[in-house]
Amino acid sequence: MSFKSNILIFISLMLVVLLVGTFGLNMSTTQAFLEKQLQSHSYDTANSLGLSLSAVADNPSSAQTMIDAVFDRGHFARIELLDIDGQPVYQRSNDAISSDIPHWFIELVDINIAPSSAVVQRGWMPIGKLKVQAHKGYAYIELWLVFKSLVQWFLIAAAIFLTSAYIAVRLLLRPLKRAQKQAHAIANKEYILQDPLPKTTEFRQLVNAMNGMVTKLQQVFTREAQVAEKLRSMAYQDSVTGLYNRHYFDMTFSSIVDEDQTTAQGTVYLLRINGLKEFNTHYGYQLGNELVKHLARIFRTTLSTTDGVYVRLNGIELIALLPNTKPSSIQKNADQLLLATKTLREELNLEEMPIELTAAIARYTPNESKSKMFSQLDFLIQQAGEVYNDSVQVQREDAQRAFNNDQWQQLIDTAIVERRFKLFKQDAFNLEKATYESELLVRMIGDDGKIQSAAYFMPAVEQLRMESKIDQLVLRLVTEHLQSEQSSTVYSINLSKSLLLSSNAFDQLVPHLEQARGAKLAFEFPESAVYNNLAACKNIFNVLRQFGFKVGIDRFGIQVADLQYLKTLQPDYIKLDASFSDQIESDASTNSYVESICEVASNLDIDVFAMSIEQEAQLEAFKSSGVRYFQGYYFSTPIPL
Amino acid sequence: MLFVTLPVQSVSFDNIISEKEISTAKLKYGVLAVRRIQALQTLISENASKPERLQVNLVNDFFSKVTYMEDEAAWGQKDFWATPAEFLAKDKGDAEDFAIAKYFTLLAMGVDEKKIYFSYVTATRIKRSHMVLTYFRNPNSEPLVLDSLTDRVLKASVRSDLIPIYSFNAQDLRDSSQVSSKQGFESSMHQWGQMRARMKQGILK
Repeated sequence: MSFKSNILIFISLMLVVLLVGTFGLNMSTTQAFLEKQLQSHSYDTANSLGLSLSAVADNPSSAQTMIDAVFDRGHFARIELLDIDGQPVYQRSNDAISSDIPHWFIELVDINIAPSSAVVQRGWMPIGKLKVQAHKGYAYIELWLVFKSLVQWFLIAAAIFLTSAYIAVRLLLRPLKRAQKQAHAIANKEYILQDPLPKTTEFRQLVNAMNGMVTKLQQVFTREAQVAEKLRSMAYQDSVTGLYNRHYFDMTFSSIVDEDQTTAQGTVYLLRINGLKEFNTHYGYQLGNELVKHLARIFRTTLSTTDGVYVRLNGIELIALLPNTKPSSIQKNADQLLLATKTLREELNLEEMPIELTAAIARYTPNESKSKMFSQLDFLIQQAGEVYNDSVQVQREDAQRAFNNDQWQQLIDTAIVERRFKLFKQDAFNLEKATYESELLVRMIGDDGKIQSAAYFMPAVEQLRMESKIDQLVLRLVTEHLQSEQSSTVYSINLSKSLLLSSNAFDQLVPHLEQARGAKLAFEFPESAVYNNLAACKNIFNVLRQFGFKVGIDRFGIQVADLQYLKTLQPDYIKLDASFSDQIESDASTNSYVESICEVASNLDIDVFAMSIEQEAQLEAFKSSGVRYFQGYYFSTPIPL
Repeated sequence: MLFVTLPVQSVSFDNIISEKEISTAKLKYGVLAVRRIQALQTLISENASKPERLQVNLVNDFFSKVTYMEDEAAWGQKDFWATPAEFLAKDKGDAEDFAIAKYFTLLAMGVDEKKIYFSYVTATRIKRSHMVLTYFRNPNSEPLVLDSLTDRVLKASVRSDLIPIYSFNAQDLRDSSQVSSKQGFESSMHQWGQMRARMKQGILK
């Protein structure tokens, strides 16, 4: 039984005792008063009637009339005239009690009125005795009225009292309920503080203790997230410019140009700062660093595109990978960037500017080789240095490969109609090497019958803003597949970031999700898209969860420095960026960064997947860092669904 | 001294004047008051087995030595019914006090209470309401009147100066009060009740 009901029962008992006591006392006082009243009524009547009868003692009929008159006009049970030997002479009686009074009440309440007697005399001689007894009925009527009003009053009082007691107990116990909520929230990795503090001393102490614990836990979580951030910036950031470092570039390059990624093709931009060494000798390292820092900022803002990666390759070279852009569209920004030296000279207050900027722009394609790309860029930048008045060298367009937008549109539309989009799956495994889930990949069968990866058509799809169409298509394909074949593994599906940018796009997807309701599906977005649209993502995650689907974040850990947002979103899983796999077994800082990600994730009950595992050594390294789920060619290749 | 110590244990003596009353009387009214009370006790114990008619005369004679005085003068109260002990201790009293003292003394001597009535009468000579005690040898015989206005016990028919109005018997009063289930009825009701209560509790005013 709850504390609350115990208290209420106790209060009710006290109340009943109090009320019954008051009730009984009230009733017996009233009864005593009425009895006394009637007793004195009998006594007075006996006296006055006895006196009157003595006056007409010679006339028996007059005596009877007097008795009748007194009896009829008053409340009497009995008036009796006895002669001197005690024999009745005349008698009137009425024992009836009003029918309004219930029988049980008369049984219960015993009213006792004794008869009063008086002498009747003629001259000096007593000639008889008069006995008068007042009627109980009057007392019963009065007592019954008192009883009824007392019961009424007590019921009302009891109702009011119990209701207020109930409310008061509830109010008093509210902090306990809140503390319970706090504890539940901690289980869900939410940290709620109770404010204001309750006024009751005991509860105040309890709430203070709870608040203290919550604060501590929150601090622990925040510290872990901060450690992860610090490790990451130490490992992958250039300390002067805040751009990524060479290490990071080497690590991520292959995953950026991976044919299954939407970033697999685009433009690469290389900026060389000529004469920095002279500048440093001339003005000192501090000013040199300042210059590079400013340049990096301008570099970044001028070339800003979504998914762009900006890196300081070495002392004098900055490089940007700009996915899904064409060299021609960048050229204008590039030219503008070269003018930065002039602005910087003003800003840093320098008499002269020994710095010369040169740049190279080239295209990169899916599965591009890094060394090939660098030799290309080296060649171009050398050219730019030689041809003094054209500091930006652009790779010539490969006319043969490029379709224009109309051609792409037609190509994709036909492929949809002809059902040439197919789903592939690649399994992910747990520590016991059992299939844990399968990631679905979409492929297109080209006109020539060749199977093309997403990297082939996704840039065009994005250009044409057809992403949501592909999302719907994938969902339809998987629903059709699940109707024909039951599966026990969870299929995870990559959703396009366009869903996060426009709620309309997601609304259109909802009917398709409705159709798939109950299926074992998981949906994921890339981290960069999630982080830039946290609110939209939270909403979409909530809707997906309502349909019974899992939600996750893909390509995790590279683009975003802040891990705290995981607490807001609470995804079911995260998939580490593929680039970690290249470094994990050799690079200690990557290793400790992954470790701290796993720590934060396990605090929030989030599964961590390692991707693109190709060797046993990578697997072991991930295992020792705390990763529990794995995917990659080491286990299985993508196969048709 | 023999009479002082022995009769105290008798039941009938207890009914009239208790030890407590005597000791209070000694404190409040002095040795003479105690003597008067002791005289009454002697009267009762010596004449308990005498004929009733003689007892009536003895009792009437005994109390005729007490001075008649209105309550206002004697007790400083407009109407006060004294107990026999108070009456004797004060050595003063009005008609009711005489009647009460005689009544309890006769009862103590063994007279049946059914034979004695208190009677309200109108005294034509002094033109005022008055109380006397009447003694009936049997229910139908002519009563004797014990009156504080005269030292003689006379037949009712001879007392043409008294008009009988109303009588009561101590038994009637008791019937009305004792049967009642609630306490405090008798004492609160009237002068008779208050007087009886003082007697029972041994209070001497």
